[in-house]
This record gives sequence, structure tokens and C-alpha cells, in this order.
Amino acid sequence: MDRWYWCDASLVSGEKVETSANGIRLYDGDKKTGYDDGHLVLTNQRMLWRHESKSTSLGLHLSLIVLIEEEAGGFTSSPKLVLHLSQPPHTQSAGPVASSPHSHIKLSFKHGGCSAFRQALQKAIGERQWESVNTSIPLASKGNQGRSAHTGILGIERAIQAKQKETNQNISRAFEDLKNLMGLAKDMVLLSRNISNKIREHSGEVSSDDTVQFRSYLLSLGIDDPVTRDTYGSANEYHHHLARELAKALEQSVEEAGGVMLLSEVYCRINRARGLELLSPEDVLNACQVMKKLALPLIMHTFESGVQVIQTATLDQKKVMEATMEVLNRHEMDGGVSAGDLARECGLPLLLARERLLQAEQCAEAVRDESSEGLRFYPNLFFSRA
Amino acid sequence: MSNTSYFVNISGFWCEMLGVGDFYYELGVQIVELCVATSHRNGGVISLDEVLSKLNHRRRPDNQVSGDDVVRAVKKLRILGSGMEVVATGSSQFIYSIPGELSMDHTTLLQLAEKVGHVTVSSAADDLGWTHERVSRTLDHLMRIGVAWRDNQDRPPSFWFPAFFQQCRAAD
Repeated sequence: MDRWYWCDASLVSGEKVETSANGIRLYDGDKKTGYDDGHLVLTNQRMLWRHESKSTSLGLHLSLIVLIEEEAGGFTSSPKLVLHLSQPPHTQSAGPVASSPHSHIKLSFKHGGCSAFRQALQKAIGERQWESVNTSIPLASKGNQGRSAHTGILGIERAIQAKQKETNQNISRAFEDLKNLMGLAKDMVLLSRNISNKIREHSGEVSSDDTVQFRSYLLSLGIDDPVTRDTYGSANEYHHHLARELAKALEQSVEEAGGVMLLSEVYCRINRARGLELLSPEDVLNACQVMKKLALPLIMHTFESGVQVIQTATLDQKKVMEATMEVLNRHEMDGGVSAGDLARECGLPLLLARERLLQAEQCAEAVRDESSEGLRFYPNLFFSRA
Repeated sequence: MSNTSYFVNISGFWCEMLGVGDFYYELGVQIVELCVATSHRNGGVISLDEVLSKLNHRRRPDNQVSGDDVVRAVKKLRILGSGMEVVATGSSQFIYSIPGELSMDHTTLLQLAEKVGHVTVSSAADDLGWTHERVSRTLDHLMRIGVAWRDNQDRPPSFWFPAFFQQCRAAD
């Protein structure tokens, strides 16, 4: 910051304006200064910074610039140019700061224009037009003046530091957002609790339609409203609705499949039909469980083995048994029937075929033959032909 | 109250917010269908690797699924009662779609089979330290449900496991 000196805004001979930018804040090293929101002018020899309310400007000779770096902006910070500077000559006139521990300054571009300014700055420094004009500031003799390549250990170190700082900033920014979200959610929950209480107290005055609507909004937001829970139970209404949807969508398919369908197949079919807003397995299970209560044409049944199915409410178990026995009788002589055989013959899933055979066995209509050939079933002749 | 827009599932709201629900439910559907399609061949035991390769083959390159995704999806499918579960045997994992069929013995034998590819009653008895009778009984059950196949042309008969065939091929 001690490289800036007070001057007026007039240009010396041979000086011409290259570009300018607004909303510039000056930084001493990495620290903000009070020199904010100023107008920065780049000439072919200097930079001039001025706040519109002041009459004097700050000047900085381009020859002092050793290295230029650019810092990208983020949510809370503007893009910046970092200018590394060499020592000012003794002959330099007074400036706002007599001496500064930092050898770099930053320019922050609140209103943008950082990259354009940088390019102009690089060009101006590259051209070194002040060398051909007699100026009051002696030239520094560094060979790498104004080169903005990130060469040298210094450049690398700075880049690493900047990157680390940016990462840290990004992380804290992310957590800031989360904190804000949690704060908002808390407010929302409190607010809705208050409203819910008020409704409960004044239930006579509020129309029941509004109440119901409000409560369903709460339900959809996942906010636990005790009144809603009492009236409807935990999400029961939703599953009743789903159960009706399932029954309507699948009744015919179940009939065609022989009156019985595995729950896993129900899950697949309904989700394939829906396409979007798929149902979770829990939803499907819960919906099927309330089917009987709602007297729908389909009901759920659980076998002893734990296999769960949907079947038509009017399923004639006798007919199913007759169909199974018919297959068994047909193959009585040629090795019996395995679950796979029955599945293939009747177009059933393997699990269902197995259940049917087990059921037939339960009713003493069939007997099993377990061997290394597999589990096969035969008609039970002990009663009929004994 | 016939307006269906009132009936929004609580967990559905958050699933939509986080965008995860549909992904796993759709994946669940694909997994069930795959298991049904292959169960006649492997008896209801399919390796996670095979599931992944078959599923990802059908999906766009930017929409591939991982083993972790499949495991999560299968865990959710358990409650449908069709016996879907993930079982780890040795170094890899398998998706079972046969309810309540397999005991520790069956799983242990499968673990061995996965390592060596195929077994005979004696080789398995030696490797596991079991009696021949115990091995036979276990193999019988696995054959009965179609997980193991017996090759009678070998002397003594050898037992092969279609669930591991893909790995055998890969090893070659």
C-alpha cells in the first residue's frame, strides 16, 4: 500500500488512458482498506484510483508491478487482481501509507471487468511506454516486470495458498447454506405448530374444509401434526388410496395369471405402469395388506413359507386344487411332477407352482418324493387305492 | 375428499426432494425381472457381478449402477416376501430369490464351490472337513432347487453351479 502516492487526476505528457473500471476496492496485502468503490483508470504509465467524492487520486506506477495474478470470485467475494510490487523509489512522493509490510496489493472488482482490466494491464506493462518518455520515477531493472506468467517459487506458493484458502472458503460456504436451511426449517416447523394449535383451539370458527386442507399440507411436508395422526393414523389414508389403485390396475392381470400373483410381480407391474413416482416395496406391501379391509376384488395372502401373493377374492381354491391334481394325475406314471414341471405346464412362476404342490400335500391330495433327482410330487393314492 | 392431490406419502415427499426414491424402485423392478428370467438356469442364485453386467449392458453409459446400488435396492425388496436377499459368500456377493431355502451348510458349500468352480463329494468333504453324508445331503438339496447340477459322466460324479459360471468363464 505504500507504493501508492497522492496525485491529481491529470495526465502527464505522453500519458494516455487505456481502460478503466468501477467499483474497485484496494487491498493492502490481503487486508481490505477503506479505499472502496473507486474508479480505477489504467494509463500507459500508471494506475489511478479515485473515489468520486474525493478530489485527489491515488497513483501507482506500472513499473513497480512485478507479477500479476488473478483470483476468481465466489459467492461472497469479488474477483481480484493480485499485483506483486517492487520497492518504491525514495523519490516517490507521499502516499496514504508511509510503509507497509506487504509487497503486494489487491484490486477487487465488485462490478466485474477483472479479466479485461488484467489484459489491458499486461499489455500496458509489456509495452513499457514509460521508458521512452521522461518520467519522474526511475525504472526498476527487473527482467520479469509485468510478466504475468506464474513462474517462480513465489508464484507457485501463492497459487497453492490461494487454492487452499478458496477450498476452505467453499467448505464454510457450503455449511453456511446448510445452516441457513436448517434455520429456515426450524422456523417453518414452529410456525406450523403454532397454527395447528390455534386451529385446534378455535375449531368451531375455522371451516372444516380449510382445516382438512391445512392438515394435508402438513402431512405432505412430513410435519407431525398430532391432529392429523389421530384422525388418519400414520399414512393410512394414502395406503387405502393405493390399495384401490392397485386393485383397479391389476385385477384383470391377476385373473389372467390364474387368480394368483406374487407380490414381487405386483411391485414390478404397478411400477412399470406408473413410469414416474414409483412406489416403494413398503408402500406396495402396506397397500396390499389393507385390501381385505376395503372389500376390494383382490386380497393378499401369505403362505406358511412366507411367500406373499395377491389373489382374486373370489378365488376358488377347489378349482386351483383340481387343476393341480389334474397335472399330477397326468404324470403319475412318468416320474411325477416337480415345481418346475408344474410351472412350465401351467405358466406359473416357480414359487407359486411350489406353493400349489405344497398345498396339495397339506390337503393330503399329493405326496412328495424327495431324492437327488429333486423334489417331485405324485397323487396321493394311499386313501383311494389302499 | 376425492381430490387425490391431498394424498401425498410423507416419505415420498422427501424421496422426491432428495431424488433417490424412483432410482432404487426402478432398479428393484429391473432386478426382480432379471432374477425371474434367469432362475430357471441358476435356481434362483445369481452373482452380483452377473446382475451388474446384465443391468449395465442395458443402461446408458452415463446411467450405470454400482454394486452398492444393487445391494440397497435388493434390501428394499426383501419385504415383498419373495425371498430376495443379498448373501455374501467368500469374496463376492449373490442375490438369492428363493425364500427360506438355504441354511448355513448350503451357503458354506456354495462358498467353497465359488472358489474351486466345481466339487465332488470327496473333494468337498476334504476341503470342509465334513462327512460324506453331510456333503451329499447338502448337495442333494442344492440340486433339488436347481442351484447345483450333477455331471454323471465324471467318475466320480462332479457337481457344478450355474450361478458361478460367469466367473469360471472370466477366469479363463
